[in-house]
Amino acid sequence: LRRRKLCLILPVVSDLALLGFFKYANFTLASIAGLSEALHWPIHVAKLDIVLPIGISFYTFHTITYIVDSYRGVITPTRNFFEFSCYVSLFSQLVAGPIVRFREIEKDLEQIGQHDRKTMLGRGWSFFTLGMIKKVLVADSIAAIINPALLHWNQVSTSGAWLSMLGYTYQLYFDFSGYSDMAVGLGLMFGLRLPQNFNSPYKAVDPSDFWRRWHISLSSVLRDYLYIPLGGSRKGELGTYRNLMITMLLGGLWHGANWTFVIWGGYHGILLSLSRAGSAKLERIPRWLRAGVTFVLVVVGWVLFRAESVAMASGLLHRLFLPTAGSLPIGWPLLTVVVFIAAVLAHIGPNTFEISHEWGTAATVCLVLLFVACLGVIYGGQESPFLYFQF
Amino acid sequence: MAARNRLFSIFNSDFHGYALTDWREYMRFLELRILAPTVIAMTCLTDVSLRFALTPERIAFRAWEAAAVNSTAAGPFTPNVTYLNVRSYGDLSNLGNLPSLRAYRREYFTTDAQGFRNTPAAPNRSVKFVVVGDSFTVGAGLSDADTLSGQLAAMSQSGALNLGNYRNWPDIEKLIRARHVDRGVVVWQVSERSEPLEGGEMPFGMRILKSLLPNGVYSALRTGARYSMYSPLKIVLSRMFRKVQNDEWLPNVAAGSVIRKRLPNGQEMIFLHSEVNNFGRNRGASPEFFVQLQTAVRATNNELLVVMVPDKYNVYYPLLPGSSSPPAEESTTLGMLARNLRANGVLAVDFTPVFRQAAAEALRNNQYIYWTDDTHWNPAGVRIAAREILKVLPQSSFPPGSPGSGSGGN
Repeated sequence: LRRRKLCLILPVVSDLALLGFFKYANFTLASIAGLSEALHWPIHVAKLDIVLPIGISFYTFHTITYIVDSYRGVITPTRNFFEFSCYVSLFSQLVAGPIVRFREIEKDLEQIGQHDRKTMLGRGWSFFTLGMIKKVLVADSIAAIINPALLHWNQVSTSGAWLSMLGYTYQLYFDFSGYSDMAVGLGLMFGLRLPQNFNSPYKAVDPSDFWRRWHISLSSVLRDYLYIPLGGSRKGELGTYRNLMITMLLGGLWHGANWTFVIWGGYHGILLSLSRAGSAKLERIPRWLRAGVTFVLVVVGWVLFRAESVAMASGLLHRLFLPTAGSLPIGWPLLTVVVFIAAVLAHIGPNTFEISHEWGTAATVCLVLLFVACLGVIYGGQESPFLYFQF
Repeated sequence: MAARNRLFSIFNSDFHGYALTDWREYMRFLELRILAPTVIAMTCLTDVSLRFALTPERIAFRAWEAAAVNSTAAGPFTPNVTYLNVRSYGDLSNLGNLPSLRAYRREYFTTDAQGFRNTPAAPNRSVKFVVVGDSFTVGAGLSDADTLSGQLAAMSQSGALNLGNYRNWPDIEKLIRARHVDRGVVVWQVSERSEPLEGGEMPFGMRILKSLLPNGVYSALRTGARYSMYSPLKIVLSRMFRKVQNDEWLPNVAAGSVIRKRLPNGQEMIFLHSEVNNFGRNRGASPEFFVQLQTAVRATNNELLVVMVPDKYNVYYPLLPGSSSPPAEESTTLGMLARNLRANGVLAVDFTPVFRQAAAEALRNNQYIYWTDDTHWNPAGVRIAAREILKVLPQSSFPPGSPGSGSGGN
């Protein structure tokens, strides 16, 4: 039994140590230096020159869930090295998810090559095309306008700040869910059914509903491998709130080594706790109002998520809620149009897992044209070396 | 047969039936799983074929890129090129996507059989100047006659060879010997912005490849590598994008890589971001390279002259409204290197003080010595440089009569 425990703890600890070193070493060092300065006892801390390995956050989670699931007996560890390495480093989702549990694709991996090629290819390309349209045409066009504006965040007006932050809200969703759709599409082309990562999150009616819809693969991993082992909701009211806070703070930190992410995690932890405490009363409020309030709370959270520093976060929040003069982002008319389209799609439209992916002629032609536009944007959007070939 | 039947069917009564069956047959391909990969394949195909169909000189905005893509191992540019662009403009107005600040000019660019920027007429005179250096020596943005070698040749009534954008000494030595350059001057131009100052050697991997592979294979590889970077489809599409990124419809993201400043006369000038950032930073260049180079140059019975071209921002800094006094000449990278070289017996001149003075004088007449939209000097700037070069050369190292005639001698 002790050996079994050792086989669990040793690899999980080494996995986390690797992730911790690559992702958080400099953050920890900088925080120690900052703290020491604040205490008027400055220590000189060296900055390490670390290059973050591609996809480390994701394959760390993959191996951890694999080890824990093997320990729990949920899965039988595979004897096939190809299956294991394919699971850990599947290229389509290596960089940004979704986080896949082994049991979710175990069957597909075993039966690879035996799927119905035509149907899977059809669905795969449909997912891929839709994902690319979401990412390139919606998310990237918003980014092209709001990034330069947020570079000078202390000059935007209140309406400019709202427009930018709404833009960012949809950018994040269309970017990430578009990316996930592309990963799912690529998986389908190989016969692998990757899990759904987003389920129309902006239709959520309360914070916990939001987390059941947003980055589902991450929140379910956090739930199964952190929240529940901590005791989940079985440790009394206070214990539950504590577990929620720990889970959300660590979940925030997972997104990146910056205090803004920790604060963002904490903010959502508080929202989850509050909505849990008042759930009975909240039920009586009309659904549309709950959805609206949840959405605004989420947008406020994205301010913390987007800000590069705590100062930027507080500055932006100030501009959002206290009328301030300033400028609108350059290109705001186009931004308004794109945000409107994105809002309709996100709040009213179905998501990629709710549609049949069987397209008629007209729809196919439209999608192909949009796909061509995507390629044009990808091609033309980046600086060509010829423009500045050689000095 | 089938095709003929189909053709006749147009006149038959069952025309509609035929047309419908055909249409349905094609409908089978109207599926994303077929069309989407086809679109990707077509894009790749278009990209590759345009690389051959649209030659660089047809879409380049200036000579440099037009002539650089097809260079061989023997020289920096395509051999035997004559390129004329009557609406060429500056690297900075291009880099910052600022069409309103373009200073259009005529650019006439000729290369010799090896791909150096020399006109066919030049070799007839006996060569007394061999100019080596970077884009300043080549004369980016200038016509042939306005380049440093062109103006040196005109002023000194002798031949001048432009070996710009090529700094491999063994090859240069071979050229000097092949052209029988004797008792002449090798003008080695360095720019403040190059890192390291002497211009840097060919990357290690490239040098190995060049020494190992036969010349033809190496050239072909180089051309291949250049063409892998040259994508007309990308260029055309990104130009369309940049048109829309005009700070009205969409923000101009490229503008961040340059800095715009206004001179006292109201003229806007564009500077390279890094030049502004590096201003006043002393990089402490070592004279060692040039001391060794001098020995090598003297072995060919010629003299070495190192000339230093300051950054545009360095030249115009004192003229910009609100700027504090610039750091003392002796403490700057170029000033210190020049002093060190002279102490080691190497002829060297830093153009910074002369250029600053000339820039101030020219500004009084609303004229400039660097292009307003480019990092490089303009014909007026080159003229000052050529005059300075002739001024500092000792009479003894040079055939009497020729060099000092324009400058009045010592």
